[in-house]
Amino acid sequence: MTIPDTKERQQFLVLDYLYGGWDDAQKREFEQLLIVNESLKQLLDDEIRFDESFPVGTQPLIEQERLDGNRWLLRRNLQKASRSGLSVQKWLSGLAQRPFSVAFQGAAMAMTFVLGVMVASPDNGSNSQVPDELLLSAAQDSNESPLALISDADFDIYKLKVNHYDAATGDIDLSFSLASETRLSGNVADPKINQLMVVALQDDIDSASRLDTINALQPVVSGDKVYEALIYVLTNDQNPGVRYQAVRSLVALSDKERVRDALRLALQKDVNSGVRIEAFNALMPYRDEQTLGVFRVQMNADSSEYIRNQSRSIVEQAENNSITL
Amino acid sequence: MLKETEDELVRFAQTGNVAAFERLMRLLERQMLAVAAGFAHTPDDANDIYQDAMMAVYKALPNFKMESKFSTWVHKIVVNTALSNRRKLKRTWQKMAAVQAEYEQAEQYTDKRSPELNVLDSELSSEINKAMKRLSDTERIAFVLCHQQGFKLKEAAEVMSCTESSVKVVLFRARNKLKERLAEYH
Repeated sequence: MTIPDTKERQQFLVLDYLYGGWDDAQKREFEQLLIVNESLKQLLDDEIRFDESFPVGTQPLIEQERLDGNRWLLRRNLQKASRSGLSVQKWLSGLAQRPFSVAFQGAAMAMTFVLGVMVASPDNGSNSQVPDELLLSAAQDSNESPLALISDADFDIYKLKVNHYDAATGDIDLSFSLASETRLSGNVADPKINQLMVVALQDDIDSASRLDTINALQPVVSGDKVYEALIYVLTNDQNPGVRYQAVRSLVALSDKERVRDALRLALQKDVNSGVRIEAFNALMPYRDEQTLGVFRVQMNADSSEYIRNQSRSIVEQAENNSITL
Repeated sequence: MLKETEDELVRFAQTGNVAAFERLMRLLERQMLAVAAGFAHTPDDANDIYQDAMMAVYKALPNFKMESKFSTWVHKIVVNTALSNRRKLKRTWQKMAAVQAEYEQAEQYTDKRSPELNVLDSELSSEINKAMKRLSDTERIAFVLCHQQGFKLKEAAEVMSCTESSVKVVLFRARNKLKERLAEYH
């Protein structure tokens, strides 16, 4: 080991000593260098001083209660994920019943499914690896499925994989995915468009698209189906950013009892304080018994100091008023 | 827990066995939550990052080839989930973070070797939180992995998909920024 000539390289050597995973012999060799090189020693002392105030291994404290809460939430999310197959199916059949009279552009629909197919000989259908229910739905329900609305030429095959090939018999096992993108153009006020977006919000699109969809629905947020969908998002979406956008969109409609129900639920149950604070601020002007009941719980239970303090003050104010009356 | 048991749990979980997945995650949950907390604005954000990351782990598990350490692979997903959430939802996260910062407390820091006994005083914890926010994403990853989680440079390089030298460069920058911000404590 030699002492590097620049200060920067010497500092990197110090980092190697602190984090590099050297063995004892390497460490001893480095420590020998410290005896003969004052500037290297000074650099190490400087780093050690920092490590004394912020030692290696100093990290956020994770208390048991927080672990338990996350375990519970993870279980709920896993259960939800295992049901998501059903929800996509529902979405597809729901979509089939909608009129598709407008040209498609802007919104996209992607449907992907994987089929393992034995294609070696015409009589080997019984050896197919495709689940029966998939085959049945593709064959029997083709008239009702949105798949029927897309011509063969619109499908792309991708991710084709040869799983097994027997050169002697010619038997082959393939898997592949089919995808189709369809576009719908028009105005967000068109019920055909905003209802498609509302359905998509409750299904399996990615979080950035859900966020874009909520933003795009802003001008028509007062429509029954739109705010119902936002309520669904607020109370079910896994992503806090999406729930936060939903609660902000719903604030303007807090005069509706259904919306207030959702805001009260979010205030009590949402794990994200940003979402709870927005819900709380929207509910503040309402002093009905139901809302005050939630404030009474939150003034003791909420982890946010702001919500606890404000809730307490509203509840005390309400109680004083009732005594005066 | 024996290595064989962890491998068995991974294999069970790969078949979609939720109970096996939950047991597997119990081995890593405290560590992964601490990593998520290293990237988050508040404890609530950290919980959300953790949940998103665990669902990503569950979905990607069938593709895990057992070629790397399972915990390294999970670390990688937690880090990527935190970064991708921040990038995709940047504006919303900023708005939300502003609301939270106005009203909320931040993470409390402790020494992981004896977490209950060595909780740092709240003033220093608060300063560490502020200082951490000044780091860039890569500086933060390198510091969280090497300094908070005790990763060797080589292991951090694997999670960050870069060379050891690159980790050293960003770690060096991260330490310098933190030293400057926390000067009065050392």
